Amino acid sequence: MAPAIEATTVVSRRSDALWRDTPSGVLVLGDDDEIICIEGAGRLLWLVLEQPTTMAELSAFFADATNDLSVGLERGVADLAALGLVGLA
Amino acid sequence: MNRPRRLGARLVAPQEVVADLAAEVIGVAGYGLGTPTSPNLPSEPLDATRWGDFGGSMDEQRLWGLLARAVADGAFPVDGTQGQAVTEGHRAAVAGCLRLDRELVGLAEAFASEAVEFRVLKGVGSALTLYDDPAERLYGDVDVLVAGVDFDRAAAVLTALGGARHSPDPQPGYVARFGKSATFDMGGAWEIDLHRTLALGPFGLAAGRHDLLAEPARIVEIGGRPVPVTPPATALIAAAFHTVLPADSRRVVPLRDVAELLRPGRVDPVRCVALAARWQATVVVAAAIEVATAVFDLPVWGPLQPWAASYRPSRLERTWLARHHDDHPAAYLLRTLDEVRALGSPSAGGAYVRAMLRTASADPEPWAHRAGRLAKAVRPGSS
Repeated sequence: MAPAIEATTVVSRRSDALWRDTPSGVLVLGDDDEIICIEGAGRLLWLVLEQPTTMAELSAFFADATNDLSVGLERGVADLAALGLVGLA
Repeated sequence: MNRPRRLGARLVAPQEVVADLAAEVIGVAGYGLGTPTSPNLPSEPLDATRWGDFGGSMDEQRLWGLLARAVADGAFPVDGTQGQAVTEGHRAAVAGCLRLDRELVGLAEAFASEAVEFRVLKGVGSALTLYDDPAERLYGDVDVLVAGVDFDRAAAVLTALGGARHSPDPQPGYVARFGKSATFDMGGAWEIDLHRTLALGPFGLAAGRHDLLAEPARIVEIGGRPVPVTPPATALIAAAFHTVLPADSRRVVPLRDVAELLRPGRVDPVRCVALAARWQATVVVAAAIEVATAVFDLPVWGPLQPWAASYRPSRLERTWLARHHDDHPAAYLLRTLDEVRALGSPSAGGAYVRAMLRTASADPEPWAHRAGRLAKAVRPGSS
């Protein structure tokens, strides 16, 4: 079961992920050979995760964005975790 | 003795490198270099007929990435259908690159376990080290370079990984000593080109006499694993070979790689010129720099461009370069003599000739083909 996502949860991009950032979204090669396309705010989340980051830091970053993107952040992180693309600690 | 070049004469005509490419294709190939490529980009969406040809060129030339960037920047106008085609074309090409990267990681681990030193040529190495965004540089196979002494061990590693060699070694050790590369089909899904030198012909044989891994590798991280790629000076020389002396279909992407490597601070010019001289590749490098500068209308970014423009090739270099671009059967015969000379010693040249004769006697069909070409050389009017 995935750990609960709290302000202190550290979110880490999977270190062995193979991916590219394109104008239409981040493309990641999944374990099953499928290509996962992360678009919109999810793309920004992926790019911000260059370093392991706490949920509190992510919330602050997205709240500062032109449009407040912090709404739905937890869901976005959970989705990436469910796909095995980020780790939670 | 080197003779002065005629004023304005080029070592290789740019048209030879970008022949048959539409202006907008060249515009895309040069997009993002910060040079005035806009005259080559359309001011309105292409009509359906031109778009069809253009899309084919994007596939063939592996330019969807640069096009996607140009479209996103508003520099290449498209209609809704064309915009969707760009997104899909780019995504499909990137997916292919990511799958190749995954296989490369496995290959790097296999080489490491067998202590085979290698460098990734072009491909992901160029994408991760030269381009503003790696997704702009697309590729369709994996090219790796090993030393000749390691070639057969590296080939054995690829075979153990399930690779099927396209053409068997004509005789044990032939490619390792005299060949350019061997291609391995990996389960029908992708290919690895295992190189021991950078080109066919005299330039490739001359370069292959030297340590092409002499410049310390640049390490990039792919899928969390460190992978050695060609360092800048070697990368420029390799891209120059691929630009000026292509072994198969001519693509414009290596020329773009040359342009990227000319950006300020990327290549140590002294090291590059010294390596090129040691590998008898000076004229190839100078020609590629000249062509890249002309085709992409590059500003003078560093000392390599004026050096290339003023380079005076020796008679031998001019001869080798001219014969490389000459399809006449007589040139083929003479190129074989150039190859013998490129090996640098009578013993190596003799070994090369003996190896070729043994190969020919073991496989009469190619020999008959070659004999036919020689006959053409004697009677050039015959068909």
